[in-house]
Amino acid sequence: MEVVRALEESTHVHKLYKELLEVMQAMDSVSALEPSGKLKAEFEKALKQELAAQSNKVRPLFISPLVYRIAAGFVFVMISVGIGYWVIKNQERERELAELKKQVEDTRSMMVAMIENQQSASQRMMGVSVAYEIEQPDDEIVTILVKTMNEDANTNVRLAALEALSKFTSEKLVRASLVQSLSQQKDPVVQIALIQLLVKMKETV
Amino acid sequence: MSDEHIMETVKDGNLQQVSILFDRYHKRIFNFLARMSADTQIAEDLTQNVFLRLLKYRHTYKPEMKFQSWIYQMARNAFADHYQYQKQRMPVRMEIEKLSDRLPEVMDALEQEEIEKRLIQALAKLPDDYRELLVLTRFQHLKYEEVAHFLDMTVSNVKVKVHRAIGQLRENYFELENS
Repeated sequence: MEVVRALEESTHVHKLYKELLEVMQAMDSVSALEPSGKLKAEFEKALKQELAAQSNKVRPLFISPLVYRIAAGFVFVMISVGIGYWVIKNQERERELAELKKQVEDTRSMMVAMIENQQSASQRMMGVSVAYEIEQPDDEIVTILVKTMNEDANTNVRLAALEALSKFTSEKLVRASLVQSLSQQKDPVVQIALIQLLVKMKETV
Repeated sequence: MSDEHIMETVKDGNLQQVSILFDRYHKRIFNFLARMSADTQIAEDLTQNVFLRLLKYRHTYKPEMKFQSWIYQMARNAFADHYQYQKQRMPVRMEIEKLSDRLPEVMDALEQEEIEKRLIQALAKLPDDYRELLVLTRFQHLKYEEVAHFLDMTVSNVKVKVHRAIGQLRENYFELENS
């Protein structure tokens, strides 16, 4: 009864009630989304691969008899210890540097492969996020990001590429590419973000 | 055959049976992820990922687990992994794509499309935990008890949070209408 009275007496409560009702109705009226046929096809492909992997499981290769296995293990341990000692003594610094270089190179290749993965928008998005963390991009990375910003099929990926590029606006190539991209963009969402960025760039000059 | 029984056979090595679970669940999982991410392409990727995880981690399935809770938990993890990684690295401006392309034909009325678009935008503005609760209870129609179980919350806590989430959704929704 108190509720009914409050609804009748207070316009604010009445408005709140009507709005809640409308939102609840809107939620009830939303229908389910349909995934594309690609999802099922991709899943079946992955399942086939998993089934093939299951039937082709290779039995582990064992050396027998046991004494040879122990001997091989012993030799392996000795060689490992020897190599480890040698590496620690003579090559530690070079190794660390080389590893670091390799890691950087691996991350870079992984990032490029992710951005170029046409099958998966989430992978491309992740690749672009990695690019975002780079302090000093080279021309190749800039070119890939520009291409993604202009041509990617997914709006969020294009926006993410634009976001990544916005970090590097001090680079001449990036500035030129952004200006050029304005005439190429067809997606209004990206166009707006691009215009906002260009205005911001002009303000900071 | 129950989902749990099928999952048991998958766990025992009959991988082909997973197709039945895919047919039963892929649309629900896709819808959950699409509502959470507001991006149907990413939702498709993540749905695929959920079923690949299901195959990969089939040995961890325990017979006493309700299959539906287990797969939703995997979907939550797939979403969290993707977006936490994303958030840590860069502030992506999520844009609501044109969802009407994916809707059945009955929904083509312009007004309904407007309502839906605004609702999804209002939903996207909610904090992740509120959005998740509304998607699970109002869009996916899961029972409060079940949601409470796999979110590790009490039923009354779920109800209170759903109530608050609807309140905040109302604010977002009418803010968008007036903007």
